[in-house]
Amino acid sequence: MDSRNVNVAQYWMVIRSLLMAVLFSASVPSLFAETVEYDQAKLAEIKVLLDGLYEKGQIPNYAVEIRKNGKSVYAAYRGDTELGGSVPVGADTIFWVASMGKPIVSSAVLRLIQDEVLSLDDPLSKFFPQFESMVVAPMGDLDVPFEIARAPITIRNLLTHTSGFTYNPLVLGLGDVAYQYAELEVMSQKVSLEENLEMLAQIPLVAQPGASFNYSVSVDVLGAVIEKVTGQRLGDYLDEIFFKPMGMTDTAFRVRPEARNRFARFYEPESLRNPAAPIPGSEIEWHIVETAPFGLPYDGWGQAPTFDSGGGGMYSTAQDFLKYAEMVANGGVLNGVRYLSAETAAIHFQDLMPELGLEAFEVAFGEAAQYMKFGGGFGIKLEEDGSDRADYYFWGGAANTFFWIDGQDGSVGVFFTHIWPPRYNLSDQIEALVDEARMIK
Amino acid sequence: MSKRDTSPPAFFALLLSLMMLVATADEVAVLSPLTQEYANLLNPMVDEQLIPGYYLSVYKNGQQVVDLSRGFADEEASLLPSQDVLYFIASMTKPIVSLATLKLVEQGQLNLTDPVKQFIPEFSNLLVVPEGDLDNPTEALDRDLTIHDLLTHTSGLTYSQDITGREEIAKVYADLGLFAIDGLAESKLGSLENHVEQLVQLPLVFQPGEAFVYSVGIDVVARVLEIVTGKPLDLVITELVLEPLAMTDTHFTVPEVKRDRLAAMYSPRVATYPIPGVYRRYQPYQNLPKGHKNFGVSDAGYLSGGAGLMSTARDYAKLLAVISNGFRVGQRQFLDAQIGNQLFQNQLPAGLEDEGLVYNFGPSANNAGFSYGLGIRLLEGGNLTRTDDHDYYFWAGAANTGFWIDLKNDVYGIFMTQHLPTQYDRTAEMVEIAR
Repeated sequence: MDSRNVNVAQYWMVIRSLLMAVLFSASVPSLFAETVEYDQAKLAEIKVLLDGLYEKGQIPNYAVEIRKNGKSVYAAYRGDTELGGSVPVGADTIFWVASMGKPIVSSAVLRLIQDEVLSLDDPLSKFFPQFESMVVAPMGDLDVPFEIARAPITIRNLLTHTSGFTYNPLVLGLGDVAYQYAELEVMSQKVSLEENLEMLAQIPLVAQPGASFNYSVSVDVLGAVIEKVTGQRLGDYLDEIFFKPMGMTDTAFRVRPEARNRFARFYEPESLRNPAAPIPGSEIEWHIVETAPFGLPYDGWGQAPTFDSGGGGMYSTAQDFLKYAEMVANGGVLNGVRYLSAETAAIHFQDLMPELGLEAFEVAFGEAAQYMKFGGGFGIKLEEDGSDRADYYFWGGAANTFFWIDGQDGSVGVFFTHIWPPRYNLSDQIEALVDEARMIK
Repeated sequence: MSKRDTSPPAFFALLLSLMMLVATADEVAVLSPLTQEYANLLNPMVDEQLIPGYYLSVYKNGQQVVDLSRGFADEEASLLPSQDVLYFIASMTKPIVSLATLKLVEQGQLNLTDPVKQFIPEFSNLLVVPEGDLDNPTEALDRDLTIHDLLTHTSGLTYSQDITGREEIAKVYADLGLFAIDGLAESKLGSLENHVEQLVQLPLVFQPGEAFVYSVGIDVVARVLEIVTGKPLDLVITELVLEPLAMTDTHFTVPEVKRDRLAAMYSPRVATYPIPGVYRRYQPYQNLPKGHKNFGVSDAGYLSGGAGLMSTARDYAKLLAVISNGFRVGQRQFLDAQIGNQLFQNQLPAGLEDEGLVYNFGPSANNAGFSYGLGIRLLEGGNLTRTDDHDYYFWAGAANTGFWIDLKNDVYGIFMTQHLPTQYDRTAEMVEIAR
C-alpha cells in the first residue's frame, strides 16, 4: 500500500510539471477559429425548439443569445418575467443563475493565481488550518470504516470538485454524509461563511482528495479563500476585478431593489398537488405554477445575503453573463480591456485533473461521464467521437440557466428560463444546433 | 488504490450488458402496427431515461391485443416488466374497494344512502371549516355524511398536503401523518381504525355534497366495510372481489414467495448541475424503510382502502374485464348489472356539473365527472347525465400507473410503471391509439 502511494505521488508530480509546462509556455496560440459564419436557417431551429416548450406551457419564458467576436450571432427572447405579467423577458431580465457563480468565482481564483497570491496546489489548510487532517467516509457511507485523507485538499481540487466535499441531498449530495450536511445546514445563510467552514471541517469527506468528481460546496470554500487573501467580501472583489469594469451591472449576490421589476419569477411543472390555473388573457394553456425554490418564496430571493455564496448565490442577466463568457473565450480580453492573461484564460479550458479516468465522473454524470472532463471551474464536454476534442465548455444553474463556450469557434451562448427543479437542460441541444450551423471559411 | 488499475471500466461492462438485454428483448418481439404505435408513444420515456421501464396491456373485444414493455421494472435486480410483475397501484385500490362496497349493497348489508354515523358514531359530531381555512368560522354539519358522499369524494374530507390536499386542514393531515403514502410502509398512527379515530378529530373542509375534494373518503368506506362485515379489510376485499374475479396476485402485503416479481419504486433524480445529453432522471425512491425497494413488503403499515394495494397488470385486467363485460365473469353474474351500471353514471351533485374535478386536479380535469371509483371523461360539448356522451372511464395511481375503459369500442388498457409522483401521464394519447 505504501509503495503504491509513493508511485502515485510520483506520477502526480510528473503530470503536474508537464501540465505547468504546457499552461505557462510563453505564447498561447488562439484556441478557436476566428472567422466563422452560421447558417441562419439552422440557428432558427433554436427558436422552434424553445417555442415548442413555451407554447405547450412548459416554460414561462426564455432568453437565448449566441455571440461571436463581439457580435450577436443569434438572439431570441420570449415571454414575460411572470405569467400574465407585462414586463417582457429580454437581455436585461434578471435570473437566479445559482451555480453559474461557480465559474466566475473560479476565474477570480485563477486571477489570484496569475497575481501569485495563490497557487493551484496550495493546500486549503494554508488558509484554514481546520482542514489540515480530514477523515474520509468513502461514498459518504458512515457504516464502513473511515479512512484518513491521504492528500491535502488543494485549490486545484476545489476548482474541479475533487476535494471530497459534497452537498446536501437536495443538491444530490452523496450518501449519509449528505444528510449530515442537511442536519447541520452546511452553507446555509443562517450563519457566516467562517462558521459554515467550522462545521464543514467536522464532517468526513466522501472521497479521497483528488480521487473523484463530487459536485460540492467547494466553490463556497473558494469564496472564503478569496475573502481571506484579499481581505474583501467576495462580492466586492468580483465587482472590482470583473463586474464593474466589464459593465456587468446586474450581476451580484443580490438583486438591487430598483432592478427588482426585471427579476423573473420561479415556476415548477404542475402536479396533482398543485395544478395550474388558466392565466387571464393568455392564449397558452399553462402547465406550470409559481414555486418557491428550497421553500423560499419569490420575495425572499435576491435579498442581501448573510454571506456571498460563490457556489449558488449569484444573479445575472443574459447580456451580463455573455460579457463574462466572451472575456474568457477571447483569452481574457473584453472590448480591448484585459482582465486575465491569455495563459490564465486558457486554464479554464484545460483538464486540470488529467489523471482522472471515466470512473471518477460516473457517480455525478452517469453515461455522460464518458465525455466529461473538468477544467478551471468549467465543465468540459468532449466530442462524442472519442477524439478528446472539446465540444463545448459549460456550466449551469439550478433554476434552468446555462452558458457555454464552443470548443471549436469560441462562440458563447446562454439559455435562461426559471423552472425549478431543473428540467430543461437544452443547452446540449442548442449547442448541437450551433455546431450544425457553423460554416468555417 | 490507483484508479488506473481498474480496467476495463466496470461502467462500460454494465452498460454493455444492459444494452444486450434490451436488444434481445426487442428482437424477439415482432410488433403489430398497433403495438408499434404504443411503442412510439411510450418508448421515448424509457429511452430519454425519464423512467426505468414500463408495461402496457390493451384488450379489445376481450382479447389482449397489446402486451408491450421496455426497460426494467427493477434495474438493480434486472427484473423485466411484464403482466406478472407486482406494482404499487396506489389509488387504483379505490375502484376495488368501491366494487366491494357495491357487493355489500347487493347483499343488503349496506345502503349507499346510509349515514356514516350509523357505523362510526363520531361522524355525527363533525364540524366544518369552510374551504379548510382555519380563519373561517366553524360551522355545524348541514346534513349527515353518507356512504355515497365518501365514495364520490364529496364528503368534505380531504387528503394530506403531501398527496393532493390544498387546504390549511390538509397541512394538519400531513403533520399528523394521517393516511400518508409513506405510512403504508411505516404507519405513525397505527391501524386503519386508529387513522379513522384521528380523522374524526378534524373538521371537514366543505359541507357534504358541496364540492369534489379528492380525499381519504375511500379509506373511511374501507373502515365501514370492516365494521359491517366484522372482518379486516384484506379479508373483506379478498372475499368480495379478489377471489370471485380470480385476482390471485393482488395483495396489501406481497407474500415472500412472490417478491422476486416485485417492481422497484423510483422518484425523480434532480441534478442541479448540467449534465450533457440524455441522462438518468430517476433514482430509487428514498422514503421507504431501509432495505425496502417498494411498498407492499412492510408489516408496519395499515390497510389502506384508498391506496394500499399491490397488483399485476394481468390481475387488474380481470377487474377491467368484469366492469366492461356487464359485470359478468364468464357466464356467471359477478354483480347485479343494475347496481354495477352506477359506475357508468355521473354520481357528482348536479351543482358541480362537468367542472367538479377542477378544484383538485386543475383545468385539464374539466369536462369530466366521477362515479364510484371511476373518473368519467366527457365528449367535447357532451352532457354528463347522458352515458352516450361519456368518452371513456379512467383512474390512476400516484406512482404513475393508470387504466382506461372505452366501452363503445370495447377496449380497456392498463399502464404500469413505478415513479412517485406521477409525472408522465399519457392516458389521453393511449385511449386514442386503440381507436
